[in-house]
Amino acid sequence: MGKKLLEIKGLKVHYITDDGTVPAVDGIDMEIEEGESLGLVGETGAGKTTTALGVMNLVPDPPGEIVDGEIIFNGENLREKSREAYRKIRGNKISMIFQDPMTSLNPVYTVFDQLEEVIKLHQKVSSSEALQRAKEMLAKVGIPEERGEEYPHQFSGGMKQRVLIAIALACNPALLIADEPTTALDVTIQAQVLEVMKDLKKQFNMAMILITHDLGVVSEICEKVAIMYAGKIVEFADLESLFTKPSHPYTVGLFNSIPDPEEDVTELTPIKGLIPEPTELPPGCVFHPRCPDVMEVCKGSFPETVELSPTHRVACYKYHEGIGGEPK
Amino acid sequence: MHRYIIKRLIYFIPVLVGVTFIVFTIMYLTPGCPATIRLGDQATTEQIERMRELMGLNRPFLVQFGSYLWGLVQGDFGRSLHTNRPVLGEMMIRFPNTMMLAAGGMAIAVVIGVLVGVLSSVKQYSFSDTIAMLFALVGISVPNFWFGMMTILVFAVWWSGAFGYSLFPSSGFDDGIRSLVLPALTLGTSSAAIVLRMTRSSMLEVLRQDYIRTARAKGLKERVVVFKHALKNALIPVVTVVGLQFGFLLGGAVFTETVFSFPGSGRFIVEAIRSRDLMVVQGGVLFLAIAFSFINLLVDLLYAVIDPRIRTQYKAQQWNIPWLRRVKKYGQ
Repeated sequence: MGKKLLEIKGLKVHYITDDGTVPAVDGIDMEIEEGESLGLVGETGAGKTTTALGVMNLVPDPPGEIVDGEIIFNGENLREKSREAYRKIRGNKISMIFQDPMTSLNPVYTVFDQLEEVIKLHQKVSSSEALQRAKEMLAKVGIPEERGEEYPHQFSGGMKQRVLIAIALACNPALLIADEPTTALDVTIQAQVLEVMKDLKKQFNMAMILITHDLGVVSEICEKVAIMYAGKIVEFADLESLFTKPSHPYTVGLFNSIPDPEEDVTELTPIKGLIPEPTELPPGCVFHPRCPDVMEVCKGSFPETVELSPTHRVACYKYHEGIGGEPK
Repeated sequence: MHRYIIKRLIYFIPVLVGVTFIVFTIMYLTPGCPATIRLGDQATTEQIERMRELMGLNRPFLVQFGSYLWGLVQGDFGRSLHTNRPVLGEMMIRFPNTMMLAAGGMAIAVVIGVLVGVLSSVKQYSFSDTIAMLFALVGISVPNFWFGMMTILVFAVWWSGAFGYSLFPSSGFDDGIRSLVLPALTLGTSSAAIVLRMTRSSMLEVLRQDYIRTARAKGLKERVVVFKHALKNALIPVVTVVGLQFGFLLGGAVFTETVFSFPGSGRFIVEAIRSRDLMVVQGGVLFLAIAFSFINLLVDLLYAVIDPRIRTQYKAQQWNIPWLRRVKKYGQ
């Protein structure tokens, strides 16, 4: 086991609006080691992006607010850092790539401008060195250096995402958070961008949190998976045990909803029901109204996390001793 | 880019002919015969008739319009009915003053409007934002001439009453920059309010954009995020408003110039209206229209400086003239 790079303990991020408080992230725990990749999987609105923004300290405030929890990065609790100190970590030690590359680059500055900016900000280098470094980064993501003089509108979506990757990796971060980096791209470009990310991850030996709802992508890149549902992490496991022994009924539902190419399927098998309104979360386990294995106890309170193995834990009463009938 | 400018200059021609037509028609339909005005009340019918003949007023409307246009092409904006001096020359003496006044007003408007607008957008719904919005409301609502008189009252009358000298001169244009201060302030206030509102709403829009989040994720200081990344994008609609306001200031200067007895082209035209000097009104209005068109062109070019997307568009401009295309097609 490597050294722990990031550890999140009991993180709660709430959006406080006139219509009530939305617990977008409601007490999650996870950890990631140096050089490791974690897939954060869940439906839209599960709180994946909010978790990421929480780590970056970029939760839009108002209405968002980190109300509780610890974010320990390299042994230091980031939540105790001043704004100035946090700023020096952001884009330097922890970087983030966003979902929509089309709108994530500033349209009025050249690609070089935007790339050099982050290098000059975090590294003590001269302008010419920064430019040199910017050129190298562009080359690494497979963009000819002469195109650096161009503006974002002259780039395709896939190229823009590669530019954003270059910006994120320019300062050699220890952790990269990639928020659905390929969702907005078409399929062939998705593969290309993922390939670039996989490559660079190995080169830079950095850890990565990959936010996605694509279990296929996760299986290709990640070593660990966290399944998120309505602000909670319901299952957290290494890739192999999650794929061989999915334990939470929600995870099982996710796997069942993937059609098997071998079989002649005429109808998909989705998880019944819809993700609940964030302002009207059900009491007890948030998944119980949709759960096929629902029990009376599920309606009471959210289950404690149970360790099935040192690398596999799940938040479900099914695995609670004496309740689920299936003792460990 | 050059091609774009040339193209825009060519488009000027129909615009200017159109403006001339409208101004000319209005003046033509205005009651009062230029010949009578020129000769005065004592003139006999025969004298007036002879003058009409001499000035070409007997000719059909379109012929008169045509000959006026022809004159314009040669730089002849007509002559004053009272002094017989060329309108163009008279305007050229006064227009630079008005231009300076408008530029001063605009400078005040842009500095106040953009700065306060940005601050107010960053601290939306805060106390200072509310104060700024209140200022904007007052700035737009207060009539120009009243505000002008108030500045005279405060800075010239009360000040000199209290300290024995006046801080800024309240009329004329003899004191250089100092005599510009009060009229420019008066002229710029309502524009400042409009620029402020535009900057604020444009900034609020831009600050929500994904690339601002990217800039923050880079670890940039909030000041850099706001002034470098957000403001440049937010300025694009502001430039439009500034351009339009500048034209408005050239025309709006009429009141301000009157209040401050400022020797500008606006007051010149107002005096011409009072003395029914139709030729001066006609030539003067046309002159201002041309100036306004040029300012609009400058604004369009300014877009290209700010926004590279527009720059690319301008570069890609083709000569889209139907007959030229046809000639090329048949030539092949």
